[in-house]
Amino acid sequence: MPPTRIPGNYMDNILTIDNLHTHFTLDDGVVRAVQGLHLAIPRGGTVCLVGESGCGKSVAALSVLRLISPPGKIVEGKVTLFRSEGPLELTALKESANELRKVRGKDIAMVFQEPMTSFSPVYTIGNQLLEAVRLHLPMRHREAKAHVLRVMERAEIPDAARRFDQYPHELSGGLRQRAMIAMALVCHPSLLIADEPTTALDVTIQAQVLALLRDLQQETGMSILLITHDFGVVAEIAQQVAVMYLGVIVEQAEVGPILKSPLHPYTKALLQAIPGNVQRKSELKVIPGMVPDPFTQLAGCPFHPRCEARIVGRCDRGEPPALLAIESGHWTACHLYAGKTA
Amino acid sequence: MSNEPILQVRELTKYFPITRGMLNRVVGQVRAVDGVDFDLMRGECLGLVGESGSGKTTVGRTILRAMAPTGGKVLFHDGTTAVDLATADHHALYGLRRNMQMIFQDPYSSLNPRMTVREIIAEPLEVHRIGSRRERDKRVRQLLNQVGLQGQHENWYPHAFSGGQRQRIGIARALALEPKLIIADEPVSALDISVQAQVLNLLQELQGRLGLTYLFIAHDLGVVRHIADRVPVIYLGRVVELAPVDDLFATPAHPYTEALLAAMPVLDPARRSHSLRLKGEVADPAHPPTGCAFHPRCRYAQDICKENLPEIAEITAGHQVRCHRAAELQLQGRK
Repeated sequence: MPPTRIPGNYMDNILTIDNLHTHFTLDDGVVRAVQGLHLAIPRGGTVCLVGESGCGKSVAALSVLRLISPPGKIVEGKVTLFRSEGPLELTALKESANELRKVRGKDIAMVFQEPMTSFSPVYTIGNQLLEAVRLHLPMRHREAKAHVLRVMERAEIPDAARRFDQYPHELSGGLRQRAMIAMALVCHPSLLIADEPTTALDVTIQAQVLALLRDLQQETGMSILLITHDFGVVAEIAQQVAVMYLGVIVEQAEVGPILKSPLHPYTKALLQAIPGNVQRKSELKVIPGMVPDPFTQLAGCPFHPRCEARIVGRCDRGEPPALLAIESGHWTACHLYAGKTA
Repeated sequence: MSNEPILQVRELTKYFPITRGMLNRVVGQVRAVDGVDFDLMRGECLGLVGESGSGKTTVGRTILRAMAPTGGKVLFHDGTTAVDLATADHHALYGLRRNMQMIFQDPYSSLNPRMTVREIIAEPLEVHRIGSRRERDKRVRQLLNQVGLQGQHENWYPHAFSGGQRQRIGIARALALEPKLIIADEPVSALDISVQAQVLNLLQELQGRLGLTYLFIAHDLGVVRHIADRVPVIYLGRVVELAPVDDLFATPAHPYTEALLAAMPVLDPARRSHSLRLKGEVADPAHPPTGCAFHPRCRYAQDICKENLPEIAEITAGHQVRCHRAAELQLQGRK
């Protein structure tokens, strides 16, 4: 059993992240991109990791797949994948381990933000999808091609047979992202990690892609970890939501409570900064100050310098507040709720 | 907002040639802008909306003559005279450009990394030979204060600033010549939510204080709803609907507008949108569909839509739409 201190911990998880620390050691100091992340992804569920640029959400995702390269390093923590054959601790595997290569693309697949740069420009779309099949599935060429075409059609790529022989630059942004999704799904992963999959797309295409992800999840029962900065995307697809600030989760709950009754001052401020929640042309609420530079290590709560509700003498010293359940299923790391745990 | 136009765009077109072979034979045209008309009133914020590939950026650039338009008129009203920017010669343009400036989307690529903030902001003043060196330095510090940056930052290079601060530098540069009209091309799209709110507040405050007129190009309808007075919706190089922002959201009259509104995410998981999803993508402007360019994606399309291009017509005061079926359709808006 995974440790119970992980918020959102369901009985049946596909992946758990326990106290993950990923640091980058640079000439100017150490960037603590992820500092003590706990997260559980339920089997068949969708978890959204939300935060602004620099909060560590992408580094967390890359850490799961062990795709952090020097000067970055996972310095502490455990990432465990629960396969039908039994649990596999990804963080304990050697960099070069065969097992790690089998997990990537097979058990856990990834969709990136910019599909143009994540495909190779010199191979056709079909070729690149076939490569994934050849690596992971015991199929002969003809069988593999038929399988790839089926998945492409399922990803709603019109005219799949023609697209199979085209190069990435010949496809529009929306189609490239569908091809990326097809590539991720071609080996039936049990977990899909999508890093800002719709950020580069128009709203109309974004709605199509999110609906596609929802439908595919229903069909295959895969779990999704979706990383985004956009609460609109969260509202469309998430079940669980974890809000990150400076390398830690500051609030976590189901999507409804996060959007309707957020607890942490940072989540509240973010939601209030979205135009549409206030009178037209009125002044939007802003978060004072800015994200501190990544080398500084703050005492106390990482958000305290920008927090309007901070308690002087409490929030600005000592250890950062722990992530505690304030209501059933709703966790936050904030001193304002001290003594109010569920 | 007054009733006096500062800019009148008439039949604006911009075609890009498609060339083949060693001799660059022209084998086709990409009709990026294909007959755009609108008026921009003094002091208003006009929000130009459309998907990528709709031609909205090209409209902005041809107005400023960053690109020469293929045809049409862009009448700029300065006091009592009107000048056609589309045909003005170089000398006239040089003088006119003091009146209109641009703010770009990407605060990383729109600032020269080898210039200090002072050099960046003072450059327009130097180009137009305004003031002495000392006066220009004073003006730079004043501009920095105006956009919420500190004077001591003037010797820094762009890399030392965050995305939001860089966008402020871009705004300061645009304001240096005291322009009347600002064309802002997706000025907040690359920014995080909290920074986006700061920049939107700044743009609104500056508009009020300096009496600016904005052409605000954006794809985010939430942002447009917040800041714009009127909104032209553009599809494949043509305006398909133009209305005051409240009308457009409450009673859209073009099926494309309805679909755009439906695709806007709601911050309520109980109301996840399913029904009105727009199929397909923007058509290729090198081979635009016949008739109404939107008909292949339109759920209300009939035979007439495939054959004839609808004219733009006024349905209520200030609300124009280009759709054969505008009168009979009851479309869904957004609260």
